Amino acid sequence: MKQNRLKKYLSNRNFTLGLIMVSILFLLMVVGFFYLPADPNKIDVMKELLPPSRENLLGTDQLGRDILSRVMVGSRISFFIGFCVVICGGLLGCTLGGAAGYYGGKIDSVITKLIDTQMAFPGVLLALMLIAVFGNSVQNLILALSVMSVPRFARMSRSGFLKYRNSEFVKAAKVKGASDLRIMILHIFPNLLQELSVTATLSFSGAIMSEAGLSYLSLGIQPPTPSFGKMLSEAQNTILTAGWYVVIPAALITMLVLGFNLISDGLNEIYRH
Amino acid sequence: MKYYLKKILGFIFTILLVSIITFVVFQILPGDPAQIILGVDADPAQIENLRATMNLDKGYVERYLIWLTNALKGDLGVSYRYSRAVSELISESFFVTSSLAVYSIALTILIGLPLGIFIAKNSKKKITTGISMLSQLGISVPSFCMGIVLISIFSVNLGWFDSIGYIPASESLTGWFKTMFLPSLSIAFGSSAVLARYIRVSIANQQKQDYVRTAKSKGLSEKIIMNQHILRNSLIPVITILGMLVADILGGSIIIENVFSLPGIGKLISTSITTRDLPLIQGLTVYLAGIVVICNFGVDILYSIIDPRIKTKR
Repeated sequence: MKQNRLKKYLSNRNFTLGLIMVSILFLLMVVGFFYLPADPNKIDVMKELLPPSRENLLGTDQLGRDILSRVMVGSRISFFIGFCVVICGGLLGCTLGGAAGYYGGKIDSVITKLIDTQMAFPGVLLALMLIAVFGNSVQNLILALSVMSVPRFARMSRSGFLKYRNSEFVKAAKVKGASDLRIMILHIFPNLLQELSVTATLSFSGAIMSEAGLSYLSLGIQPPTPSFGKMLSEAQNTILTAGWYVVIPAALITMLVLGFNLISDGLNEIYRH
Repeated sequence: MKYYLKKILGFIFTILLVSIITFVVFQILPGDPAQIILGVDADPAQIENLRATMNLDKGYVERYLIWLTNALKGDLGVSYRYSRAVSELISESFFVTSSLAVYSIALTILIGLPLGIFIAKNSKKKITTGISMLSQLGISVPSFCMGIVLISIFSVNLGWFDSIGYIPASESLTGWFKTMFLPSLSIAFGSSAVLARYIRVSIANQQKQDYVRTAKSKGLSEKIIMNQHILRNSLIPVITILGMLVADILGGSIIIENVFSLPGIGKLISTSITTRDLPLIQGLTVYLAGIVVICNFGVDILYSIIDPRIKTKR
């Protein structure tokens, strides 16, 4: 039974392809906890912008730091931010959406209106505003990106709770005297796990993309901590002398975002059929 | 008429909510703004003076109302850093951003529309799988990554375009056209993929409709059914998507303008944040969100004119 299910997942092309892309970087990150080819922050002016070689598999950056090591450490930030944002944004979004969908009426219209209003702030603008006010730190970055991901979770969970609130099993639980909270968490929520996984993977890729964008603008992760976005902006400055460098962070960001998008697409296809 | 009234009320309400949210967020700010402007070792009397001119001695509600009425009159305050009116700074950089948006939308339609129709028409052929994969890639590549890759290919390696720098349209129209091409293309790459997807789905939905079966049983050729019946109907929802894309494109332009060093609103935002120029950030935020709300409102109205059925649906 379990094997069958695994087969069903792996036979979906999008899911498998996405999983491979994400796994490659995930493995790189895990290996990075135990072994790094070089110190990612060791500056060596004699080795500036060396192209990929046997000694530095991905070459060196403008300060002579080993790029492969920086990639291995930098992927931690991407996964960490993505993970935290999905957890925080998911909790907040599902709670808001769940309350809106389950109770309906005034609660629903207030929450829906708030979520719709949030959609008026385009792209990273809301995150930028929060960072401007609260200052620039990893916690605030996670907070800002979580707030950004709330609408997606809220919409998903609102429509889910709306769908199930009048179903037979909810009525049965009510007759038995279960509290609203118990019905919402133990009876309705487990039915939404499939959709939740689709939304969560999509938010994961969104968070990674926004983090990279903000770090690119120097408004996200601060140096010397390596992050893909910052590497991209550093690489852009040396694009005339070392054109190959820019390809690495651009490809890595794309690979992560594409990977999670493909997983999300794949999950969606698997659950629909 | 009732429909329009409802839409207009909703529109005003959303604008108010946007302004309240922006105002509240900037009130949470730790520290005294007057102190921040004048520095730590400023004269207390001076600070008191500035507090009075900034209305900081008044209550929150009163301050919000003052700010809102001024904003509606077009006065968004004075930038700390430039010591100039925020509205003036915005109007200077507005042209760059709005033309970038229009340019990107034009490219999006130019690429996305034929692509979507092509995929829908040839849904059974093998080439479609390739194009679908490509469109998935288009959706996933962040626009700023795309921008840098485009710079690397077309400016650095091929030398077709200048990589950065902005030529105003008033100086040289062709020069402007050229400098704006790569930034617009990097935004349009993703959004045209989104558009193509929606068009494909929309066409697929229309193909299942009864009127298509009627047309088929009438003996019309596939081509006529597609071009004269299905396409017309399936392009209606696309207008909504274009409305949504406006927000995406404005959001994307914040980063893209920095990639290509375009002196637009996005560039203004990032500099205002690094210098902690709060009135400027507040003004820009409210301004951009306002544009998005207005665009969505316009799309709703346009939609109801093109497809009057929508008015009775809700």
